Amino acid sequence: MSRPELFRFRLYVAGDTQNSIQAVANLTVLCRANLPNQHQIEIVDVLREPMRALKDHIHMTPTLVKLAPSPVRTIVGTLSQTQPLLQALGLVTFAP
Amino acid sequence: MKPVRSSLVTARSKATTGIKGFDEITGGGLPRGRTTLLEGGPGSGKTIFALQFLVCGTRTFKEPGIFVTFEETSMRIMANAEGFGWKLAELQRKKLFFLDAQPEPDLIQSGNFDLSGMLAALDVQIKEMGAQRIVFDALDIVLALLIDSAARRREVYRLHEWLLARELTGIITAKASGDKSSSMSYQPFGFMQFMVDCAVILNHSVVQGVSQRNLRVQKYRGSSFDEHESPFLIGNNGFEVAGARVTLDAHEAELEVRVKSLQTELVAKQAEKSLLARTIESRVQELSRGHTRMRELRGADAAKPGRR
Repeated sequence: MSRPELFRFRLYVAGDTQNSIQAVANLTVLCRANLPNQHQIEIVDVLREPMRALKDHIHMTPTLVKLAPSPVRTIVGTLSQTQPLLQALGLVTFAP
Repeated sequence: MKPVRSSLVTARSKATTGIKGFDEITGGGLPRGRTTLLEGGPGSGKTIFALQFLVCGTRTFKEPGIFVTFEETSMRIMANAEGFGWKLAELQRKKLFFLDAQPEPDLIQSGNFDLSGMLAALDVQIKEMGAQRIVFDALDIVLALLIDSAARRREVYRLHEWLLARELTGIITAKASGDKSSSMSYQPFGFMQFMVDCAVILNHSVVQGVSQRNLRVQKYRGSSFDEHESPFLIGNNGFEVAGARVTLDAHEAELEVRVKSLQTELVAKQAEKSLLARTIESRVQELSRGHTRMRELRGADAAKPGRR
């Protein structure tokens, strides 16, 4: 518990569609609350970089990829359901 | 002059599928620049139909096509197509592009999503290869992941608008279970049936141990079509539908031939029967003659002295 781990995220969005705007907002709130000063978010707009979506196999938007710490996880959706999201990111520990 | 011209226009407004029989019952194929919904149960032949439509486009009409698959991998689809001798490998990339869009099995979902990312990527691909035909295979798979029916409708609507705006001749395939009330996924497809310009239903059933495949055009906006179920088979070269009128004629001719041969057979059998009757009669007479002779002999024998 010396240094907090850095969480690196990449969020694929489709312009300013409703789902995408929601995902950006939800991720920002989540990171501020749970990962203050230990997160990094890269946002990829697939409407601006469509070939990147094809190359990275992004078919549904928004899609969040947690690049670090490992394991890499892919989460699809507006990120509005926080419980499965926090579990997927390893931010909740299960009480025995 | 006039009727000739109008028939030309009709032909141009349809995209030939290359499926024997289907182009006949629809008067030329699928509506060009519009969307067709292809419904059917598992194993009913949706994927083969859709793929054959694309192969025909690239091979015969130089219309490149895109196959978006939400369920089977493109590898498996291509392997299956090898059996029909379609040689997809040589069409790949430039003329026939496969997009594997299967949701990952360990995908985590949190809230709703849409397909605008994929459509944006497809836009680039379509421009690059000049695609005119497109298939979305097993759309039900991705729709099932959406949270509510409103979201499903929105995505179907988005896709349909996208297809129309690009004037692509499209096929959307979806699984349909026979039981309408129990199927959760049925609702958006009910909605889709109203939206699309053409709807085709594939059926596969087993009646008394015999496999039966049927195809029915449910609707076709702005065109006449054969409304009845047509039997089809998946043969060595792919999909083959029994074209309605042609087969009826052929069927009638075949029946006539059979009736004639049965009649000949009947005459022959009758002759055989009367011959047999005559033979039996003469045998009976012969036997009774023998019987009488035997009795006479026995009578003579008893009359002889010295023998018991």
